[in-house]
Amino acid sequence: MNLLLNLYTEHQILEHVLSTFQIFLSGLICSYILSLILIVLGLRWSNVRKLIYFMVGLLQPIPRIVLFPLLLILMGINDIARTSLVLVGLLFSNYLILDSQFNHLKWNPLKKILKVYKVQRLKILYYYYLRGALPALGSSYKNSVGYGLTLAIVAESSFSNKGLGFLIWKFWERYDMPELYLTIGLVSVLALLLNLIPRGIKWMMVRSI
Amino acid sequence: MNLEIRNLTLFNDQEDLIKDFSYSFAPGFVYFVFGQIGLGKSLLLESIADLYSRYQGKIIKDPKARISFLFQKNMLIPWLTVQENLALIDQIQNTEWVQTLQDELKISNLLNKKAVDLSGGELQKINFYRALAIEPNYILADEPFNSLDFKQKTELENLIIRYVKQRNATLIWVSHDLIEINKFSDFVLCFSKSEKRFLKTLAKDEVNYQTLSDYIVNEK
Repeated sequence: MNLLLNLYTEHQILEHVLSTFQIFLSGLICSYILSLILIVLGLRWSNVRKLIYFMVGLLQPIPRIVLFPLLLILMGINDIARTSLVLVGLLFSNYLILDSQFNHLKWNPLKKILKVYKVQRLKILYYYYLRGALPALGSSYKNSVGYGLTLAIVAESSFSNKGLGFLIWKFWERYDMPELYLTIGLVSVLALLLNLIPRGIKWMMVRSI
Repeated sequence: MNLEIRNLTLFNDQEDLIKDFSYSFAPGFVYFVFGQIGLGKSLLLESIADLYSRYQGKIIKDPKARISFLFQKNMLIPWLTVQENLALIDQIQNTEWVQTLQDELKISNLLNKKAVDLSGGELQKINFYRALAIEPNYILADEPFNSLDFKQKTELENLIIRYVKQRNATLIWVSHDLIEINKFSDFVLCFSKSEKRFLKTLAKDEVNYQTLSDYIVNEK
């Protein structure tokens, strides 16, 4: 308990947690926005979709971590470079999971009924596409929590003075083992809490009209 | 207003299907579309409902007319409740007719269930309810009662025929069921798969098991 208090007062753990959370969340949201843009383009023009899949096939095998120095050079030593690492790391997997679901929904015979009964576009978008994509959104998010947090922490462990990655590295260099273990434990708790978010979103969305 | 089809030729990826088909469907009658599998009967219905566009020719219908479609398969969005599925459709208003229909089909207890939790028969009932609740002028039915037991099937068949006669609607019904055709048809449109064309119309007094089965046996 004292150790936790020490982390809170002396090391401002809350600020570091928020910093990591911010980098992870910004990278994740950007990856979803970019994925959705690519999905819409791909659904509209099949050749664009083929091109995107070709590019994904080409670039997917590159380990994202090795791109970090490149991002630092391009964007400078700042949070934008760190967020970009998370974005680049999550983009392809989120795109692939969501695209396959949206494509499945696009060609589903159920769409015929929406057309016959002249259902409004906004309703189709929300009740058919968005609600239909919820399972895929949930699984892509769960994938993202583990990998995205790892990338955020790696990005913070070099050329940074904040975040859980910075703190873990600092404790390791000073051989502050109890603090190190506790911080790692906090990362696990953070990941656990992030994993609970989809349930809340599902509960909010799956209510009657 | 009559539903007019003029010189309609349907295509799919491989071949031409029905060629040069012209017909005028009058309100208040039940038309069965009869012929072998694979000649394009379902696509004919989908073309009328603007769901299929690979055709030449003209389909002329009242622009204000309401169209409903009874598909072979379950057509409810599985992740929504029945109520949510129905609420998507603005044409369904809370009218006396809708309430009567709900009571007659005994579906009130199904409204809050998710579509994925319904049995095949219950799903068909909801599809049927949705199709009639919009008070359609044209009803397109593609073997809609295949997954129902005899009792349920008879109830729904009687209800749809009653609707067509009372409301002066047009029912175009694809079926292979000779009992159904024999019992409910005003006209049967016979198509030939080998010749890819419309052959003839049988009027109510010409429709019997013998004529229909002869037609099937003689068709190459």
